[in-house]
Amino acid sequence: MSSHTNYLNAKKGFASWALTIDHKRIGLMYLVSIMSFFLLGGLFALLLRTELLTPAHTIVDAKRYNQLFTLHGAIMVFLVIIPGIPASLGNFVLPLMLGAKDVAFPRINLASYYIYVLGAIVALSSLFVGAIDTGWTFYTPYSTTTDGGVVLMVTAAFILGFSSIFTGLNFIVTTHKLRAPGMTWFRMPLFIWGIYSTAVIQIMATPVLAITLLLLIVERTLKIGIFDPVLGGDPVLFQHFFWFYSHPAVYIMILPGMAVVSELIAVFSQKRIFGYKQIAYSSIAIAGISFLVWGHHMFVSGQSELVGMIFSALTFLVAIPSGVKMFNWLATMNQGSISFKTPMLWALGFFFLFAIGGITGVFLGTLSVDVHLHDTYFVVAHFHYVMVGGTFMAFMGGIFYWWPKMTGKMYSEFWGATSTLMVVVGFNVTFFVQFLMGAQGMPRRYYSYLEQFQIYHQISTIGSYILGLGFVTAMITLLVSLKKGQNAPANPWKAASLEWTHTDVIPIEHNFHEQPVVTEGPYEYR
Amino acid sequence: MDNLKELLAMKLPVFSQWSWMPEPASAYAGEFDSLFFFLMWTGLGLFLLVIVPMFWFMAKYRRKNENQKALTQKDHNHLAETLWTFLPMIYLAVCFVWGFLGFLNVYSIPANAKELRVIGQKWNWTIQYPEEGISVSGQGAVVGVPIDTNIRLTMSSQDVIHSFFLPNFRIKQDVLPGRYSTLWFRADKEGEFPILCTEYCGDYHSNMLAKLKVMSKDNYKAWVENLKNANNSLAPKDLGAKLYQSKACVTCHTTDGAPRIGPTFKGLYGSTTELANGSKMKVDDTFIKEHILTPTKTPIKGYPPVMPAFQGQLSEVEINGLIEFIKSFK
Repeated sequence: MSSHTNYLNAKKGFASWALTIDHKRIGLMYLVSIMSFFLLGGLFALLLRTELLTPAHTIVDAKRYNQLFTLHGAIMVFLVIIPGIPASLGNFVLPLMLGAKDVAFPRINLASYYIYVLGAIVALSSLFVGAIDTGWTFYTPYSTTTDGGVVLMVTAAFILGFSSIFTGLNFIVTTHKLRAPGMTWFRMPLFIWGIYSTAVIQIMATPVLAITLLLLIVERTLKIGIFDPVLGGDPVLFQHFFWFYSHPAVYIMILPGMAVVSELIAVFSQKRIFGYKQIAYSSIAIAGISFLVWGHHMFVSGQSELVGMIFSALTFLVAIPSGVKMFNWLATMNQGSISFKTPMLWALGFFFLFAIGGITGVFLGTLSVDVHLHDTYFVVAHFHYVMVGGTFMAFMGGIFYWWPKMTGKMYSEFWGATSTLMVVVGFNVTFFVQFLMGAQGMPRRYYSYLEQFQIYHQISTIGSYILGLGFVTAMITLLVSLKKGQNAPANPWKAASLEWTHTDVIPIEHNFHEQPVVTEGPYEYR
Repeated sequence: MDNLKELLAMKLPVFSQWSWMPEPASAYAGEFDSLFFFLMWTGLGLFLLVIVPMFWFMAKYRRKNENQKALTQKDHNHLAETLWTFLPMIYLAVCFVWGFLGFLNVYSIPANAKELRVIGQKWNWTIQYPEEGISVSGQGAVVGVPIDTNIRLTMSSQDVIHSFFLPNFRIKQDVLPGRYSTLWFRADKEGEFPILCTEYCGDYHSNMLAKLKVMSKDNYKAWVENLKNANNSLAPKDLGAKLYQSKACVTCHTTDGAPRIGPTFKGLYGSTTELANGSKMKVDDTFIKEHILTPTKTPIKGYPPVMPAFQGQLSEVEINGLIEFIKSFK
């Protein structure tokens, strides 16, 4: 099969990749870049976990530790999880799923990739000016007064925002205008619904972050008082602006994860997805409500109690559509024909970890409980369960699922399954104890800590090594398949959506030999 | 840093190693724990509600041969979908109301509360007692309070945002520059409880620790008297040595010539130093006083301008003590 021309071998040479406007190649380039930054961010995480083996100095000093957790957070958020699934898998899969030849604006798509690269270069160059130590949240007035490359890192986040907007814009227009004949809204795979909802948030929320970061730069460089009280500004205003973007951004991160899992659960149960419309609408609901909950990051910031009450109520509201998805996935598995191939294992891991992440979210939405837990390791554990246990597990599942379509190769199921297991075990060892120490009052972002917390920190650090090894194993498994993997069939998972049913093993440059015509839903398994 | 070692080793009899919550020290903390454990047990219930079926389906409907089909393609059930949309709302409403009531308690300050003023600065707390006319400060400062008394904290920050956290009381509140925030508690248990900073504030954020010491009313009176007398009767140099620890000068200034964030005290007095603007100055009493009270006005070359200003926080007696202390390192 591989003797046929496909998008990988149709054109050769560096320029054919660097200047490509093929959404599949751009998706792959994103995937490689994002995974590289994931390894870098992960390395920082392992270093800071190693430092925490003892309460005082272990391997680095306090300043370096503060830089490590800032870089870990900033890289993972801005360079890995936010672009993550949409820019890599979304780019590759979305036009294929819709029966389109490409996204609506292929050149803007390529531009988004280079803007991402530019943002990444600016972010990393801040390391040479003096690494930033503000935490990824850049809270003022600390961020306007500390030294180090704050302006560069903030500029990087500003630039990366445009990459995100371009991608979102492309997906919205593509979904509206380039669906194949017969592809009605309710015949679209749920992956599209999730990515589409994400794109709406990207377009609407990102400009607010851009403005906020610009104001921060203006304050730092021109000393115009906006956030710093010494200059006549208001530090809490920054938090409102920041979270107005960054809470919706949490759903920019998780919605695509849910989108992938909807596909995986259906395909590997060989059963029509349960409650299609409910899942689709719940994505839209999450996108909508996500704009109205930012204040739950600020229950103890000094905002009024009334405001706290309103944000708490709205926060609980967002739990409903997330819960609805969980129940629908469960009902999909019921009476299915469940296969435990590697992608499904990641999806099941997602289900397990995201359930814990969601339930602990209820603790944090509950006003009085949040007062105690705010800014402790409980919060750290919670958002890692959602962002890594949720989004990243789904991301890995998606990569393993579409890998045969991307590369034409099958990987070792044994090593795929082993890596999943290592990640799930390592993850729980790392983060479950963090709930315990957080509830006991261990604050986050602490270089040293009371000795009684040491045992928890040591368990957590050991877990992080297992976790790291698991992710590395998964990546090696995929890379080895490129050399040694067996050739994949066109539809190894017996899926029913267009990217599997109407393409070659590896799709051709324009995706389909002839325009697919859609006559039924995406989950009709036979 | 010996100071730090001592702090971290604070043997606080308030955590039992594997329990979920630190020992409660107020009636409110007890109420809080009821809600926390309600959330925990119901949360565990919800978790099992989705995870047990997951494993059950995994076992029961696993694909035993390649061509096995799903038993059904049924993809909706209105009753089930309605139930799992609306039943969680009831549960979440209970959590919301319960949490809101507790939250009101945290922020409804009783009218008769005794006021303490809290000042956060990099990287220590100062607690002023307006009624008693005393104040305590520094990393590891011991903050005495009487038992069974409503205490109101009026808090502000000198530099960046900090957050005042009392785990044993289940309360915290951000401490901001440019505005005042408040918090209150009523301790019903004697003992020492940690005070932690929970808003990241820079290099030594995690050293920003202090101890809340809850005492019987009589012991509290004696503690106040002791503190009043202690400073006045000390030799100036000893007072300086004490302040060197309690005002956290020790964080940035060594006394043995080793470099740290600020200039070392060894050989400092009487030396000539270069300012950031290039001019040279002799380090004398006036120089030291100015650089303690308003250090960033005339920063010294080669050192980041990060020292907090102590204007209004030190008495003349205390400043003299510090000068004598610095003088003693020839």
